[in-house]
Amino acid sequence: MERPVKRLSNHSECRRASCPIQNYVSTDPLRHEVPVAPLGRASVETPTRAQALLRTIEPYLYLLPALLLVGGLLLYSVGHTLAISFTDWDLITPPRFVGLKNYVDAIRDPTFTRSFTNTLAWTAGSLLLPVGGGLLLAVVLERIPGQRVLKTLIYLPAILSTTVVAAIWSYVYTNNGVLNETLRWVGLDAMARPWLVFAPTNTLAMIVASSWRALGPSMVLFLVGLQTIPPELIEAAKIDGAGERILFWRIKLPLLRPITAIVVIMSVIGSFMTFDLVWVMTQGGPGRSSETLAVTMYRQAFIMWRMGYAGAVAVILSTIVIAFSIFYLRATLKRSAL
Amino acid sequence: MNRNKNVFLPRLMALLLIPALLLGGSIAAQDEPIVIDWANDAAWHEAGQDAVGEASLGATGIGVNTVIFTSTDSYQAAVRGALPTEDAFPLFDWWFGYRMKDLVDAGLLADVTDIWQRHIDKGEYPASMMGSFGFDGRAYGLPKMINYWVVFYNKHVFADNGLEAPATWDELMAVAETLSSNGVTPFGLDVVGCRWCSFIWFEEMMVRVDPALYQSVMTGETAYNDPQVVAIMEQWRDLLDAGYFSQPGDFSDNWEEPFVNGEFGMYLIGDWWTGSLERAGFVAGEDYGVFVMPGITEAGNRSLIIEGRPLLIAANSPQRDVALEFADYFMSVEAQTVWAETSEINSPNLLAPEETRPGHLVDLANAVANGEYELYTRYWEATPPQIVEQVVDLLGQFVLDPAALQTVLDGAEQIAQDYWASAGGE
Repeated sequence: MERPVKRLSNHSECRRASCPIQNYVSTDPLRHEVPVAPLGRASVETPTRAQALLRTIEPYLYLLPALLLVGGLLLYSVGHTLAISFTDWDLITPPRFVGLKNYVDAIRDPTFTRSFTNTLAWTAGSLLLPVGGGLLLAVVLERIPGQRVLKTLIYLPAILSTTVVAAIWSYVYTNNGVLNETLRWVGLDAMARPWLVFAPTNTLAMIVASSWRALGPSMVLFLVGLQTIPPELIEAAKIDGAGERILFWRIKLPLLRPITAIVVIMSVIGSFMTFDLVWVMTQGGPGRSSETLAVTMYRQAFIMWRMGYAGAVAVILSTIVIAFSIFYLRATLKRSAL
Repeated sequence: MNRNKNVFLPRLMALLLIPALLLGGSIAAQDEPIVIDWANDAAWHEAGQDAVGEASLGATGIGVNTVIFTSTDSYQAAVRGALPTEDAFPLFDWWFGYRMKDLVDAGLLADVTDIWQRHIDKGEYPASMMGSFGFDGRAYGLPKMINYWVVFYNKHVFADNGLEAPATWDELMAVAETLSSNGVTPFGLDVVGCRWCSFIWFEEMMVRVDPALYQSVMTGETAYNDPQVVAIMEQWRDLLDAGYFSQPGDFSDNWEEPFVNGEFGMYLIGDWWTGSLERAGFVAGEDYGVFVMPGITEAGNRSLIIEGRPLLIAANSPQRDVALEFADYFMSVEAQTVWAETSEINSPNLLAPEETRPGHLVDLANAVANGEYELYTRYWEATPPQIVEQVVDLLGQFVLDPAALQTVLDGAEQIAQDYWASAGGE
């Protein structure tokens, strides 16, 4: 594939094939070629053995704080969660080993099944609305005047914290809230309803609220992706007579694959972790009807004090997310072969 | 890269030094009067706790540092997590009855029976009160707050509809019918914004008909789906079906506004709601009044739901003995007077001046002191939390779908049986 290059050399007559590679910087965002310092300066000093040793371990010293943080906070927590998922720990009495009981209990629990279904709804919803919608908006906004203002407006909700988003949408969804009043005002009285009370409407309503916030960031990522598509390719396709639809399906979408992979994976992981919005808007209720797996985990841990059961839910949740991520990234990135 | 090598080690040392300096600073600051932490998840207690701490500092040389958690969940997690360790908060608020039982069973609470006994001997507290704060004759908590559950009614709404506070169940039903036919929702109840609120009418209907039955359901002797319980719940279902309750989701977490605005006429809740109404500018006696819900049967006429908030002392805290000394002072008339005056909370100390009690609750407090009511622990603490936490969700389902009554009660009984079976085996 032809890669556009930006010329840094003073030799204006220098042709691409004959120029030293370090004089070029790739504009491909996925392939940074950092210009190498001119030869000579570093090789003048001959380092002593101690200096050489220091130079060898220096990069690791820089990594050490990050490694300690990851090791201490992540790996320890993962190990600890896994360990307590086989116990009946309640925070105040010493944990007892109970084998796979927590996992069996979870799988047999109808509430766990409902949380699982709700979580799948969240995943489907967040693929459809923020990912699909973000792509559509990016493609449309790229070509219309005034896009800067529109982009800002669409991105704006993303700067709000989830709690604020939840509070705003709670007002939208209450019985005499913005949504119902608007529906009644335009004469659609039959559509007005208590949005957060009955399943599955409450979960769907919260997915919409969450998408309102997630739309902007995914749109921006797709816009960045669209800008990295070489204009020559678009031009060439246009010269060959490709219409907008062909351009989108045959040129833009395939070339957006790396960005799409990132947006999809972030959305899916985010949807599996859905907690804060649900916790603020319905606390998983009423009657546990809008719980997601993360809410179930929190409830079991910090309301029922069944740390072992909560640990088992956490392990199941993490396993699904990790398995999906590996499978999806392998499949997508292999195909894009960049 | 090469330049960085020369500054790396000095920078690393500087980074390591900063925490050492901070640590040194805190060690140096320890030589001051004894101040112990008092943790709480009720921000509105802060002024009262600070005032009692101030008074205590003068009287005993022990001050308190109020630690407020804004979320009940994170408060409970922090307290439970620290209780088995030396980092436990020396003083902390909790919930009484079964909510403190597992802490008692695990030996995490200091025994305060002697403190109670001293103050009971002085005539400051009724001897019967100590029983609510412990098990098997030993007390593990002190009475920080005692509340009774009553019906608040909007006096303007009642006046506009030509109504008065009802004295019998039939009068209450007549009031509800009048309000309902005049377009005012009789009772406020929200199980969407308030998950636990579903138990309020369950416990109230039970004690208004058959308080002994309520007790035996709480201890697992009677089933949730026992025909007698079903019959009581059917009475509540009839009220729901009659449209006497606000619609689910009508008001989420702000209960004061719709009550003040007259969107519903009556609200059954703990008398601690007085403070919230006062902050909303609603004046007791002028704008609203309270009454104890009349009984449906004769036995139900003498029932009153009680809620207590105990002050507990962590057995593992290194400051345990200091905390016990403070607790003794907290029970005194002097401390209780300061507490009642600054916290909007009635003092249960019988010798505390009567002016420290809000006017509209004086009669009720006197009636309780005269033994006119049998006190029944609120559902939240009357039965093990492992049952409560699941049954409130089922009761919430019932409020949303009254037709599901039998399913809900069968489900509740299954939860209760599972718990009592495993608890019995331990």
